[in-house]
Amino acid sequence: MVKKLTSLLILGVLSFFLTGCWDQVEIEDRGFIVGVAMDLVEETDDESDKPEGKYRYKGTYQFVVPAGLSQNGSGPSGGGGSEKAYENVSSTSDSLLEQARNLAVKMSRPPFAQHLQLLIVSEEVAKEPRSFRNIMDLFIRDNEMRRGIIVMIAEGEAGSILDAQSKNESLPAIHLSDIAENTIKNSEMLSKVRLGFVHERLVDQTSFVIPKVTMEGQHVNMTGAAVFQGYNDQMIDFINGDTTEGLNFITGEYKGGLIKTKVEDELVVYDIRNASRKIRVDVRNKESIHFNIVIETEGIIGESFKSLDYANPTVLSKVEETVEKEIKRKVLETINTFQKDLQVDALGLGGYLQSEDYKTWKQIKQNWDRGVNYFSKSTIHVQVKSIVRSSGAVFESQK
Amino acid sequence: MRFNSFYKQNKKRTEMIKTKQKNQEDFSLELFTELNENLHNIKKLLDEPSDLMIREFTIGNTDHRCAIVYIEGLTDKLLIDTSVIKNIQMETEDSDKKLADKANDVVDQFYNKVLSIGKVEKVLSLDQVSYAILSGNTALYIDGTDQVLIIGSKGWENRSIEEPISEALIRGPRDGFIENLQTNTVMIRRRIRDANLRFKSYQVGRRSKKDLVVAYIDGIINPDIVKEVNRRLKTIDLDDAPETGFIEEWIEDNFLSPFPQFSHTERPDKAVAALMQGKVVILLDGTPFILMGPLTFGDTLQSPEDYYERWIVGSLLRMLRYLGAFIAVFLPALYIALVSFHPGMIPSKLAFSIAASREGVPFPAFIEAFLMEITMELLREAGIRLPKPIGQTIGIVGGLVIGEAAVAAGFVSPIMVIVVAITAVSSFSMPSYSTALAFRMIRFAFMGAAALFGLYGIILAYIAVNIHLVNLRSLGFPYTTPFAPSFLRDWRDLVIRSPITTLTKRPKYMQTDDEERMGNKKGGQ
Repeated sequence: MVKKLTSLLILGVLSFFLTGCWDQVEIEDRGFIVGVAMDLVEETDDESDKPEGKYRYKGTYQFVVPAGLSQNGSGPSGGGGSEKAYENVSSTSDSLLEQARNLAVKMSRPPFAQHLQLLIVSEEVAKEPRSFRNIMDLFIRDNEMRRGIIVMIAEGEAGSILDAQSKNESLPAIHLSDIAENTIKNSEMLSKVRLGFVHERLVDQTSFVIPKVTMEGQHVNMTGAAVFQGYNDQMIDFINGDTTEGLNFITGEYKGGLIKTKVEDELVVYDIRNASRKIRVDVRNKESIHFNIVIETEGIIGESFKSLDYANPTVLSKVEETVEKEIKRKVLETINTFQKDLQVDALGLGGYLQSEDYKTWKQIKQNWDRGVNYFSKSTIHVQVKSIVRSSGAVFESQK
Repeated sequence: MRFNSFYKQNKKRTEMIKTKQKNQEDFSLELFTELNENLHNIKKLLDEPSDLMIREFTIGNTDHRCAIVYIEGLTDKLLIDTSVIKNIQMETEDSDKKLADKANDVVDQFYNKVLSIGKVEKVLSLDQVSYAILSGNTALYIDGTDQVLIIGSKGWENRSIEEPISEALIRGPRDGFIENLQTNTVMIRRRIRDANLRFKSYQVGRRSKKDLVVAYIDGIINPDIVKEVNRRLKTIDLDDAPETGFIEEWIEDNFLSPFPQFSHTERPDKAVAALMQGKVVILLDGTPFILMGPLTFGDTLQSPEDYYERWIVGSLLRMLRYLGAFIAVFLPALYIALVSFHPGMIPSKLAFSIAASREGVPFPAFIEAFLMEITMELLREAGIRLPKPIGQTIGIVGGLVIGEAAVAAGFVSPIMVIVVAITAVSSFSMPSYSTALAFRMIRFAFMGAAALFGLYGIILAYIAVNIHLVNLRSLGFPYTTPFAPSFLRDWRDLVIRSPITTLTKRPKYMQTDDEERMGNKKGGQ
């Protein structure tokens, strides 16, 4: 009896061990996807009986090749110095999940997306109706995807951008997502947009911008942005670097950059270290909505081709004045672009109106930046206050 | 059949033992008035060992015979020569001194006047005599009486007091307990001059009859602890207790637990600190290690140096030790879980470099970690066994050569070597060796759990260990107190060590008779 019981017990314990490890996949057996690029291939045949999506997409998936990463180390595989650390594999299908499944047929290591960093969507895809939303669906829905994935819109073909080479980073996707961090040095870039942000915008239907990325020869360029209409999530157009800079001032995302001005016909560069903005809404009636934007910047003289006496307050205030004028010009130009050309409120002013005057907002919500387009009709005032904190490390560098 | 022949042999042996006992019955276990008979009996009882000294002589210038019996080497010879033999032989030299007529009175005379020794005792049975002789005392037989005087003459070679090897400190007293019980009690006495310091003597070992002392401070300690320790010690029935480990295992609350329920130390200052906290200290003859109880989990991560150094440093070091304990138990398990189950939880670049370093490693992470941990344990064990100078070589050979070669051969990944090394270093940082052993043991359980179920398994194992810990008792006191049951006041001296001036009360969880450690006077500003 006791023997029977113990043998039963042992069998029970053993069966417990049998079920173990069912989802165990060693780290080196996983195919880490770090970047995905989506291009449009063609429209599908509507007459087919098979259930199909409207478009066929080409997904380019960037897999990490770990052996290529350890070329400098004394890893066991050492020697293969010139090996690439990544491999781009393409797959074409109307369904993104199907694309991913197709990859498993081609790759020895099954795709694993938890380290996905970057999603590049081509301009073509973004401009087709509903297409951008449909692509985003998998990335938002799938539990392997993180909400921190950086989203970019490519001018031209997206797949080729995943081949952007860099000496520092062995993985183009990491290279690109690291560049997106550099907004503190360059204000013509939009600060990075994460998947979570895109999800919010898809749900709340406000217009938004996503950084643009282009190939320029061997290098990428990340100035400018793509503007999306909120209600149908369709891309309207790209904006250039200057407009993006003005946009950064308005949205308060300005991290740092420079303003070139001319003082007494010579170039003086104002290096912005800190910028903030305040927005006030003044609603008389829904036909006349006034926004007051006050921008305050703080910075130093970064470069001065003219020898000026920066110790003199009157000289400083003169420089500050020209800086203010320049910033105001840029911001007004941006506002003009959005109000008149694009007629889309990606500035986030609608959100301000919503929180300040909800009654009015409720009335005009449906016609804010479409239909009657109250956004274009509203008046936006801009005030700029700039402070020069110092003239750099010296007062004068030449006589 | 082999078993049968074995059984037959066994039968023969028991018969032999019986006949031997019969043969021994040519002497009696009683004391007689006849000196020769007595000496014969003691000789026969001990089977005339070579180190048994029997010295017969006459008292003064009378013809009254007497004899002293002792074991050579166990006794202080100088003391016997000058204070026993000399005194007795000189006794009746002066004419006014006379020897009593009756032999029994001679015993009293010796006890009162002749023997200039502090510890003299009258005994009436051979059992007591042999025990006294075997523990280093000297028996004085006088012809004509069945009373024997036992002279306290213990004195043998002892290891000198040295710095404890297993518990070295930078700052703190350098003396450590030795194998001699009396020296050890003295070391405690010298530190506490309180009339309430109690030493209760016990004897353990059916055959070894070792002295065991329970020390505590009356008025501080919770009397229930003393009662409980007394009850448990009374149950001990061993042939011998070579080390306090035997006592510990006999009286601990749960012998199946991997966690120690008594702490042991070689340091008198630690023992005194325990006494002052209202704990009980158990000293055993023949070992420098003493036991302290009750033990709580928090105690195992404390070092006396926490109190000797400044409190900020002490607190930081304690926190470091808690971190060390965490690493020692969890790191390999976490590595296995993250690498085999949840690579998404590792920062991307680290994940890629781990994947790169594991490229070509033939084993899953668990096997790899298990192999390395076993190797580590083997090295540690080998290092302890080998003599000191070679021990260091083993460290170098094991740590550097095997690690380096294993990585170069693609046998394990370099990151695994780092994980194992950090784990080993962390477990060395534990101040209590037996706790470190417990951690080393449950580390493997955690690794197994991680290999089966990933992080989920680690959490299950963690819950299991916690259930065990909160159920564990040490001398009836909850092991995890003051965490749970929670005594907030005692947290001042748990993970952090508050300044001495704020530790005005003894631990609440000890339920001491006297809680006040110090007055309310503020420290000397």
